[in-house]
Amino acid sequence: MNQVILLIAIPLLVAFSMPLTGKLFPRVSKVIALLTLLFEAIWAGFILFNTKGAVSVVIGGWLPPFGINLVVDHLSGVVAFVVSIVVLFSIFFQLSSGLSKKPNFYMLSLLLVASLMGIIFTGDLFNLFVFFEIAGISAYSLIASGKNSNSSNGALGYLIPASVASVFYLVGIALIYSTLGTLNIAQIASSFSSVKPILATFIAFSLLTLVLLEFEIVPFNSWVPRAYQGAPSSISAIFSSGLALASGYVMLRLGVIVFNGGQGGFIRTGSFELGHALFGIGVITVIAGEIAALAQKDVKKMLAFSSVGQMGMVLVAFSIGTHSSIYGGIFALISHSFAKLLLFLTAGLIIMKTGKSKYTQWTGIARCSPLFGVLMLIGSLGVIGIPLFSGFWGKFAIIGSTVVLGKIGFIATTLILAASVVEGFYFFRLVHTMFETGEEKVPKVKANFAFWLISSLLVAVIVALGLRPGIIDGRLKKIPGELIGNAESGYVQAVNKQLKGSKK
Amino acid sequence: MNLTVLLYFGGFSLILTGFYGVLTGKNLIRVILALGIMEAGVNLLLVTTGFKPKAIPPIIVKSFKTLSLPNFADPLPQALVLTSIVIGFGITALSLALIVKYNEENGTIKMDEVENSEEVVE
Repeated sequence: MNQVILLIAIPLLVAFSMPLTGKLFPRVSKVIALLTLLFEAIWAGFILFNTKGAVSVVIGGWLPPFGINLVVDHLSGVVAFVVSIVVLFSIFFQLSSGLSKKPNFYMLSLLLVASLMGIIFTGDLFNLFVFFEIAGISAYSLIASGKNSNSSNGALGYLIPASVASVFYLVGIALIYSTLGTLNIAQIASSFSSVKPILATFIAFSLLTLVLLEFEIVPFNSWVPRAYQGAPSSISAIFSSGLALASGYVMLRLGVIVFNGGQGGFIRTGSFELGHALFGIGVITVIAGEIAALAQKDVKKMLAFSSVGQMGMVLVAFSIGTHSSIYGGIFALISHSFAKLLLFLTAGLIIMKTGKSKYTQWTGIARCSPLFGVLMLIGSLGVIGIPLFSGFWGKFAIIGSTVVLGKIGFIATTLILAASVVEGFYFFRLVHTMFETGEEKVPKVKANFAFWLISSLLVAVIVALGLRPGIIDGRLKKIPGELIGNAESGYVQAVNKQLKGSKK
Repeated sequence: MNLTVLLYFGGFSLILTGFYGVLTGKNLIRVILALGIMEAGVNLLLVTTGFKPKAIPPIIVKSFKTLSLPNFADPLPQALVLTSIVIGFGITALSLALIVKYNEENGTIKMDEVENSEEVVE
């Protein structure tokens, strides 16, 4: 439990040794990178299974608020475990497909995973900013490492808005520090309700801009399609399933713990209810994302816009702020991570082997190699939320909590369901095209053992979560109770115990 | 005018100037320069939060006899600014390198001139 720092420290250490080991022993360095990622997954799982409640871990013997603390609870444990698995699978895919031979690629991926773990566990706002920047820098470089003509365009298209948003985040930090005199998340949470409402709204807005940008929410998502298309497929998968998951987690964490208006709820800041605005923005994001996806011919762009739509739905769920909606949002995030990972890796493999990136060129691929069609179908069903597949339970809980909200909830429910139909349409269009008989002969797509191992594991997870959500429910159902309904969540209490200790 | 107010005003106007530059700039180098202005503005803002008139450096020397704290300047914002400057430097360097790659691929350093190209391999 106390060794949660290893999740951040070990990949950082290995990452910076990568250039050297890569020069000396190019083959060994890949194995080392992979073993590090495997360690991440195992260790995150170990931490998750030993979590009993919120625990604050002191780093370097400096008690908070003077030092930086890491906080482990059910939410951060679950998210870290899923993120580590996503990164492990994506990089294993990349390594086994022989695409990137350079050790720098693995260095950047390890930096990305270290920063994602930092984003998830840190208990300090400025530290969160630093980890977001590390994630950003490695992400820009990874996008630019793509081989296609859109790579540097995508990287710059991501860098510029993200840097602007991080300036706004720093403005928020300056305002919080000058009003409350601390940057520890738990300490801010205990005294945030004393901030003047108008200032509180401004602070919340400037802090959340960066998070909303990484969370791919309209109007901050202009970077998404270009970056996803420019990046290598495994990196697009990490963005969609890892980075978006981690930023959704930060959204929930800050929204519920800090900006809860002193009574537990999602983003209640007093004067202007940012939380209500986010509900509307979420609904707009769902519709905009799904319609934009419908218009795309490029498969990776289509998947990117589908992620945007899904994240909008999760934001809607979070902004309602009831037990069942938060449970639904987290379930939807996790199931989306697994399903989108499967879709991106399969699509990436097909694009790599055939050199065709538009779905209209994919006619007949599944005729020659039907298993790929089946994989795309299962991934699609998982994302759309058909019963028996994992996406269903998340969407079911979200719809169940929007529909009880009265008139606005009814409109939102209708729009989300309509967007789901659009989603279903373009995914089935994709799979249908793959199974059509094409006029020209398509080459048979072959995959290696690693790909089959990864994809069968993912299919197993998607189907298992769909058939028996109970296997993770036990932990997920505890999360909303830890977060909402009381002014001081378990997270804040755990840190405050240490704060009192440090004052003695 | 109070010095603190002036500094806050300066910080926010630098941020807004830079933001205008980022929004309207077509030339990528100009956009990166505008980002630099924004970062300078926010650094000024951060330093100002720790500003106190007539403060002394926060270093304990032997001449302090009592435990009561003298008028120390707040050291934390300065540490934050140091981190933020380093990050800004890294981002600028990386973005310039990306612009070089962009220029090699597209033959221009203007945004929006390049349509999202359709062919994608890999």
